[in-house]
Amino acid sequence: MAGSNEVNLNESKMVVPLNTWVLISNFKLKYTLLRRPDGTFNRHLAEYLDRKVTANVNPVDGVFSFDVLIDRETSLLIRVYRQAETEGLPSIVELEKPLSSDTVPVIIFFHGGSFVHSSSDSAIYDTLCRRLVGICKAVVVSVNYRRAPENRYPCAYDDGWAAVKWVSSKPWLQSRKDSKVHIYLAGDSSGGNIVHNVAVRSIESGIEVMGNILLNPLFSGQKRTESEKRLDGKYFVKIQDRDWYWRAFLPEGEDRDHPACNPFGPNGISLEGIKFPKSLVVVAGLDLIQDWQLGYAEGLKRNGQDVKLLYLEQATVGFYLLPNNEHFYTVMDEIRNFVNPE
Amino acid sequence: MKRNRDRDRDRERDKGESSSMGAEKGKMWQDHPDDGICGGGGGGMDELLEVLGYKVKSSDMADVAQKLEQLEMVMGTAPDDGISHLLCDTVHYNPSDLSGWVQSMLSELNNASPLAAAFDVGHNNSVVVDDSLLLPGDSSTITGTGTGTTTTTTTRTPTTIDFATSQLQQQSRIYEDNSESDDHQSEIGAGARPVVLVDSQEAGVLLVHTLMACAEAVQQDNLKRADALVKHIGSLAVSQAGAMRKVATYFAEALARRIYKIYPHDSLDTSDVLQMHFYETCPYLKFAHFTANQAILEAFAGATRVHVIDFSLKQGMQWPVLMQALAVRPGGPPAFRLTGIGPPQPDNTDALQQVGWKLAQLAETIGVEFEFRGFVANKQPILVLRCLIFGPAR
Repeated sequence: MAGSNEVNLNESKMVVPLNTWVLISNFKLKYTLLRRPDGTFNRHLAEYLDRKVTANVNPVDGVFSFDVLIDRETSLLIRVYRQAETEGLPSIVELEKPLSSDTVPVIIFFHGGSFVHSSSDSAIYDTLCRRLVGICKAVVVSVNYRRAPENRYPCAYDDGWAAVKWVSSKPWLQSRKDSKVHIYLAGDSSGGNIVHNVAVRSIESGIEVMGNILLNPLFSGQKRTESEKRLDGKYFVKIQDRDWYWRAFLPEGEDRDHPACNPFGPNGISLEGIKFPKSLVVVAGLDLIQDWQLGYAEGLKRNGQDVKLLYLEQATVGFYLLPNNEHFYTVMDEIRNFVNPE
Repeated sequence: MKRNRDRDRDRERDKGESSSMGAEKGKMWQDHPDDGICGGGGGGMDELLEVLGYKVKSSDMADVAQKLEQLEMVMGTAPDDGISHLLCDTVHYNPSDLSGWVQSMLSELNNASPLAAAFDVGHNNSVVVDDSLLLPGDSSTITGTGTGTTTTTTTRTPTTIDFATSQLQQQSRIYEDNSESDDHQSEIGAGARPVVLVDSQEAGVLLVHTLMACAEAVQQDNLKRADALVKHIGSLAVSQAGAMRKVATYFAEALARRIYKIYPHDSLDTSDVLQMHFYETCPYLKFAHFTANQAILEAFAGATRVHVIDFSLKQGMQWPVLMQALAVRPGGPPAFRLTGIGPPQPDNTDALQQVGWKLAQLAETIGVEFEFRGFVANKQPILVLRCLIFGPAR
């Protein structure tokens, strides 16, 4: 037992830089402490341990941010990240100053954490959003959606949809070329799952989503796939942990074939003939749920939708959190091209 | 337990690993030429982890990794609930100091369980108690009693709008480098100006803050900024209804006059009328007078003669009310004498006498014996007193 654990730990150490290994192992350990077997979660300790940063209207590396409360009842906050255009500090006039370029993508970002961990002000996600602004020359809106187990399905999707409506209604986020807001949805892990489900909600709503970006998205189903069996416990993630999070998020009594979890499974809806945003799906080759993620991309294709699959063989979960590996740069390039079509 | 002698070996291994990764890197991200090189050398913090809120020295990385492995192994060998429960209830020190945190977890297990001792967790206790890395509003403490009860206080600070009153500082990226003290600020922490817009649909709140910011700009003589803001206020003000709209419009107009230096020509005439209108609409002066009059009434409770000297008579707005109160005093009104002092008028009219005359008319109506004296003086109270004392006898 101890022996096999040791092998697993060494294996994951081989495929990522040491500081990445330390970062992700640190999360893994802390998260184990926070999950309780009875399905409850130690939220207080979680908030204490999470490294957070405030928004900052002082530009840092040319990017500034500010928080907006967009729904009082649910205390829904979003964090807006913009490129600083003028020298010096933005005054309140410039916070919501209209975009100056012809086309500016507005990326609505949903952070990961398996629906339970992290928030828009977590340092790892604040940093990622800032990087996206610089690389994509975009405005990024990070949604601080309600988390499980305190808030189950469909709260996260409701919050995501509220953010989409808010973004699409802001004149200052419109691109000059066509006076429309160019909305892209992006997210990692549970955020990727939210991207899909919010995009589904946008169908026939009158609000156009121009593209979906899913980084290691969270999908699953009742059956055990080959990748889950093969990679269980090998690269930072165990199946039993994944199960815990689905039990925390899905409505009580539901199993993992719920359409939110398994959109192309037995309870899924058909997207054939539907106007659905083009998708960029990034799958890490060492992620144990890859069979579900690949199945998602397949499902989109089968339904005649535009999907680009990026399969990174040697990547683990969380590879995009640190810019110290080739996968990070590959993915950032892809995302930049995805939101800035020539 | 590896310590110094193995550290160099680990550092070599670090460099080996990271450089093989580094070589495959397609391009550098321009602003961070040193990214990804985790063998950062010497006592330097790993820059990438630092940005994410974790302080780990590059030279300690392998050590921290090993501790994490140990912790995992110990946790893996125990029944599900036991270890987690124990570790949750223990005292958690600075989570940013990963090395210290892991060590404290291991020590906790070491003390609690003979099983843990088998993994030779060591006795290095370099824990840091103070979490100085969090911004002040974000600090949390968790204390455990080990009996299964935990008390926690956490404050998450969405913060309030403070840009209008905060110091405006030019802040570029702050990089604290490798001092031994734990007084580091995270890259974004120091001098951050957090801003939360409370529901951007509430233009009203935005309006108030823009007004404040504009007023501050005018005060600081930053007319360029004030100009930009006052234009914004105009459009915000019309989004409001009723009283707020009026107030904001007048406020904005006043600010605009200050900014563009449009001063009306003959403002002196209207100052008296203005004074009276102000007295009527704004309760503060009235209230002050009310309180003062009460004090006077009490002081002269039994007196038959009352003499008041008003050093700043103006329109004498305070006195009608006092006279009314004296008139209905049980036992009848005293004789009331008022000496009013005021500045010389530019057009040589005797404003003091006019006020006195009006008050005399009122006194006659309500049946109070009244006498008035006016003194013109240029705000020199000591001189005035001398005039009064040595002046014309009653």
